[in-house]
Parts: sequence; structure tokens; C-alpha cells
Amino acid sequence: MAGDVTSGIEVFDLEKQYGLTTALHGVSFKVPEGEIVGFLGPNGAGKTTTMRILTGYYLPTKGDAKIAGYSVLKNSDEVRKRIGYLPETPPLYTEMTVQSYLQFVLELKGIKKKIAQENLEWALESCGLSHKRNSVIATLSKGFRQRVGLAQAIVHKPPVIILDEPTVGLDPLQIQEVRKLIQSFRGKHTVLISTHILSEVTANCQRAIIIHRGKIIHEQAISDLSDRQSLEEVFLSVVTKDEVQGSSKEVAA
Amino acid sequence: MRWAAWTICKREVKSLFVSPIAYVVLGLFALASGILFRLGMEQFDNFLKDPQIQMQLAQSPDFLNLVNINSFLVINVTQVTFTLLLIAIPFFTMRLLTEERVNHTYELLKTSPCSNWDIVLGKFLASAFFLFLCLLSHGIFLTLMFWYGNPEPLPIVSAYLGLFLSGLTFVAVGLFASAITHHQIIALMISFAINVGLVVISWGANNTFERLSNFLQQASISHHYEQFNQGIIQVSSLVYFISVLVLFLGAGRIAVQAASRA
Repeated sequence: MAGDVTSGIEVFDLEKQYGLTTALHGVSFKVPEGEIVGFLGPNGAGKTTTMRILTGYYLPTKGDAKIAGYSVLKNSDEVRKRIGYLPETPPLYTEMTVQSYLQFVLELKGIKKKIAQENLEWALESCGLSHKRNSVIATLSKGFRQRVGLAQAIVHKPPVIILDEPTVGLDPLQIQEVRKLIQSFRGKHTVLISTHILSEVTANCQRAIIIHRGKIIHEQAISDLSDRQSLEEVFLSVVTKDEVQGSSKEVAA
Repeated sequence: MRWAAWTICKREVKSLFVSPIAYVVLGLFALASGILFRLGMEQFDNFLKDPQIQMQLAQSPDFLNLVNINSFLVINVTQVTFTLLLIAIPFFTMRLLTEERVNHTYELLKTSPCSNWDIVLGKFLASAFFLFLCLLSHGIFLTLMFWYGNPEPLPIVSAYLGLFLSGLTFVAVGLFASAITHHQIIALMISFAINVGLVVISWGANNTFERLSNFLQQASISHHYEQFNQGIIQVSSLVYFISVLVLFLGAGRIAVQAASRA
């Protein structure tokens, strides 16, 4: 495997409980530095919970995760400095203009003024927002808001980028642009993308991790997929298999 | 050194002045203060024109010490403003943190290198600044008063310090209330309830148990505010305001921390 795993993402035996419900049952995986990995799973599988733990938003009930070598439990501040996160709903202050919002994010992330302007221009350019820099976010379409969300995740050029459904609400042309942008991160940033769109994983990612019912049930290198077996077939077969195994265990119990 | 609370405060103030609400609130506050000063002045004028009062003044000039502009005008205006703040501040604070939850911007703040204290203090400082601007609108009338009259400055400073501290307490209460719920209306009700509770707690002070009576008296915000309004700055009142501020800001910080610990 290429790259140094300590500069990427390492997840050890994560467990998360919400009251009586266990959302994650011992999730472990690794994403080496510079790799782009797709995080797949049906609705309610635990994708967002895992991502929220990785970004320091939630604390795990058990286990730990390391982002660029820092523990989310012990060095949460260091983790948050090194992470860019686009949640499922972009976190936008809609009364602000695109530029002032991104300037706020840069300041919040602790980026020095000297390089902030350069980062801002780069993020606006990369996300196709240069012509919308003075627009108030509330007046933007859903697609543009999604792009602003993406821009806030990358504007401080973090080593690790976590994207929760980054292409939701975008038109095919915009999806293509976002794909290009994500591909440009290869080798420079470690990226974890959660999505329902399997073709997106095949197009963008080097590897797919499939989570179901709070457990990692499969890992697949995209280059190992053959013409005969698409990612969709792999996904459906492992999820169905896990579903059947889960049901038979419940019956046996 | 970077202080994330300052970044959050600046954004909050900017956002506040992007919408017309801040200007409307400031305008209404200045209007209400204008009416209050005008009425108070008229009352004071009528009082002095009263022939009986004029006779009394002619007999004993010391009587002027009792019927001065401070006790007649400023104290009345600040007292009504105290009630105005008690009612108005919850409307202002109800959106402070509930909006962060609804807009999912909590996720941005809490995945950035800033602490829960930064979030609470940033919001608090921005609200304190707005409160200061509201009270500053009284400056117009106070300037006129100093221009044409000869009021004592120190009791006025004390009254406004008391008003500002009380306002800060209502802001801290409102901030706490907005941190524990998703709904602005619920935040509004909770801050109203706590604010009114802080005032009416002294109503039970007229009882036969001296210690309890004393405690209820001391626990009431209006008791400490009254001290300031009379021009008396006591250490115990300062300690009271600082303690209540720390208590509600601390509780707000815990609520902000708990918001993502589902």
C-alpha cells in the first residue's frame, strides 16, 4: 500500500451508542496518506456517525481514531486543525456573502492572514465560485450552496478531507466538476467520501469500504473490479449476505 | 495569539447588522428611551411649577436635594429600561445558538479548532456589544441633560453600570436557554421564566425567618440593581452579578458541549 498510514486516517475498534441503540460495533479501517476512499453503506449504516467521530464532533463510546497521527480522543484540537469536513447539510451562514463566509472559516481554522487570501482565491477557483464571491449565500441555488460547503471544507488546505455526500443536489455538469476537483486531491490530501452513488466511487476512489449495521463488512480496491463484476454487484451481494446472516442469527437467538 | 471567540463575535456582529432587525431594535429602543425621557422631564417640570412645591423650596432650599433631576428623571428612566431589557433581551437571545443547530453550523464550529468556551464567549461578547449600543442611545438624552442642567454624574454612571450588568445577566440567561433547545420559542419561554424568577424571588423575602428572608433578598437581581440605581456600588452586588454571569455562561458551555454528545 502506498503512503504512510500515520498521516492518513486510522480507525480502531470504534463503538458508538445512542441510548440503547448501538450505531457502531467495533469499526476499524485505515486510509493511507494521499488515498481517496469511498465509504459506502445503506441509509442508517453508520457512515455519518463514523465521520462525525473522525471530525471530533462526536466522542466514541469505545475505541479511538487517529487523524494525521493525532488521536480524536486525546488531541482533538490537533485533529480539528488538520481536517476539512463537509457534513450532509452544508454548514452555511446564509446571510453572509460567499467571500466573507470563507474568510470567516479561514480565520476560525487559524490560517494566517498572509496566506489566507491565496487560499481563498484557490478555493473559489477550484469550486467554480469566483463569479459568485459577492453573492449572498441565501440567494444561491442548492448546487452553488453545496459548492460553498465544499469550499469551506478545503479552503484551509487540510491534509485530511472528509466529505459526506458531496454531490447531493448538483447537476451532472457540476458533479463532473466536483469529481475533477476530488481527483486533483489524489496524492496531496487523504480523502474519505461517503456516498450512495456507486459510480462516483468507481470514478473517484482508489478503494471502497462498505459499512452495514455499524460494521465494516467489505473492503475493495477499485482496480480489482473486473468487467464481469461491477461495484454495484459487489455492494448488493455483501449487503444482502450480511442481511441474511444477521437475520439467521436473530432467529437462532 | 488567535482567539476564536473574537472571530465568532465579529461574525455574529456583522450578521446582525446585515439584517434590518438590529436597526429596527436600535431605533425602537431609542424611540422608547426618548418617550421615557420626555415624559420624565415633563413630570419633573410640572412638579417644580406646583405652587405648593415652590413655597416649600422657598422655605427650605435643602428640599432641592430630594427633588433633583437624578432622582426624578434618571432613576425612573433606568428603572423602566431595566424592565424593558428583561422583556426584550430574550427575544434577541433566543436565536443565538438555536440557529446554529438548525443551520447545522454547529458542525462547522465544533469541527474547527475552537473550544466550547470560544463559542459561548463569542456569542456573549457580540450580544454585550449590541446591548452597549442600545444603552448608548440614551447618550443623546443624557447629553442634553448635562447641556442644559447640572445633574450629578457619578450616580448616573452607577445607574447605567447596574443597568448594563443586569442586561449582561439577561443575555447570559438567554444564551444558556438557546443552548439547551432546538426551538426559539422554547428558548424564549425559558429565558423569560428565569429572568422573571430572578426578579420575583425577593417577593418571598417578607417572612418571619430572618435568614431565609435575607437570602431571598440577596438572590434577587432587582435588589442588587436597585443598589446601583440609587448610586450605591457594593462589592456584594458586584460579586452577585459576576457569580450569576459565570453560572449561566458555564451552564451554557456545558449545554454547547452536550449538543454534540448525542
